[in-house]
Amino acid sequence: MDETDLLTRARAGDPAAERALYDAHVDRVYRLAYRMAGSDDLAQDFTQETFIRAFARLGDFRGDSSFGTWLHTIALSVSMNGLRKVKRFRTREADLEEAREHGWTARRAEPDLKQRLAAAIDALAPGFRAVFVMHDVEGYTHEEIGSALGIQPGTSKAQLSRARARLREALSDFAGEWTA
Amino acid sequence: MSDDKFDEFLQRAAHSYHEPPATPREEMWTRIEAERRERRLAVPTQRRRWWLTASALAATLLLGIAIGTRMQRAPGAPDAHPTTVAAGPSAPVAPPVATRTPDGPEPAAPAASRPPAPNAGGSLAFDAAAADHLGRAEALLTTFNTESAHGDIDPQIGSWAGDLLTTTRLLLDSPRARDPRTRKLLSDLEVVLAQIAQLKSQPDSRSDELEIIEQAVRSQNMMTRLRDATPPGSAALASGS
Repeated sequence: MDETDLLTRARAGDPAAERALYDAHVDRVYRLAYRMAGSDDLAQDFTQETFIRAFARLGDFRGDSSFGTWLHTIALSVSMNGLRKVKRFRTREADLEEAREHGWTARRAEPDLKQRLAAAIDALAPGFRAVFVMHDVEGYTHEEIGSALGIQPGTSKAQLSRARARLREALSDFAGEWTA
Repeated sequence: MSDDKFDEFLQRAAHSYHEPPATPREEMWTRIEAERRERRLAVPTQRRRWWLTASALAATLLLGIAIGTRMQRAPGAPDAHPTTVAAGPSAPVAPPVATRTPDGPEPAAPAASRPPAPNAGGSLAFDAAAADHLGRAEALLTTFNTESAHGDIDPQIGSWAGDLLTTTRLLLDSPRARDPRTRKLLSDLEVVLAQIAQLKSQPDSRSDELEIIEQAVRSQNMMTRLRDATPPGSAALASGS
């Protein structure tokens, strides 16, 4: 049965069709949510919310894009909004933690290149990070990224280029290590 | 350093960034089903009841404004002919202008030439309707801010904003809307409500739209202005709490 039939049945409330759609797309949605969130709990929350919203709004899906693209639009929206909320909370927590540690921590260990890279990706602006993660990490095309983020493929390319430039800048003191 | 070499390094190294484990399919599906059941049960008992109350209150408010506007224009209403004076048998009649003499004392101006007395009753009705409406708008923006912060905007908020938008326009069109501060607040509110009302037709990736609305609310100091224009308790009543 093709996806159009599944969608028709899912709109009519067929639970088997909903489950089939879930099975077909959950891996990619979960992987993207995990890459964005870096935590299993958050990735599960974001994935669940994505499918709950998608099933609730199946009537709004007109088929202008593929169902997968539409689903990724929801997944990115849920993840980015969720992370915005988590970031606020973590910033407050981090401030408290920093205040506790201040004064007795002599020196932190110098992180290795991979840790520095992860930290640099985390520090990218949300839009840049989404484009970078989708393209360089998960292998989406610029067309897919453009559809999911509501931007032109050319804008996606430009943002990827700027994201890489920022990463290069952040890792400049490791210059040479990646040539090895 | 070579850009190409760095890009190659990134492509290799980035795969270890937040590397996901195997997808917990069944675990998530079980929770999705449970959550959907729970939400289906919660909607009729809470949100729908709230919406019925809000709709009834909005309808009452609209009716009040409509009646007020009609009274304003009705031929028998005192404010419709502010220059007319009721003159009974015992009422003193002002001398006609023609009887004035150049040397005599300035007679009292006839009632017909006096500036119209403000219709205190009509103004009070408008003020009450405006305060009630602004209280509702405050409740909507508070809900919007909360839901936006949680990243979970209820699609029905668009209809809610649409209803308030209609009332805002009616209030702005009312001849009683004379106070410049209230007019400015209603005008600014109209723009924000229009933006929220349009959200319902936007696709899910609407972070930018939300950001623009939040920024408009913040930069125009909307919440403080609404609170200042609303008697204490109006917003709480409007939100049904």
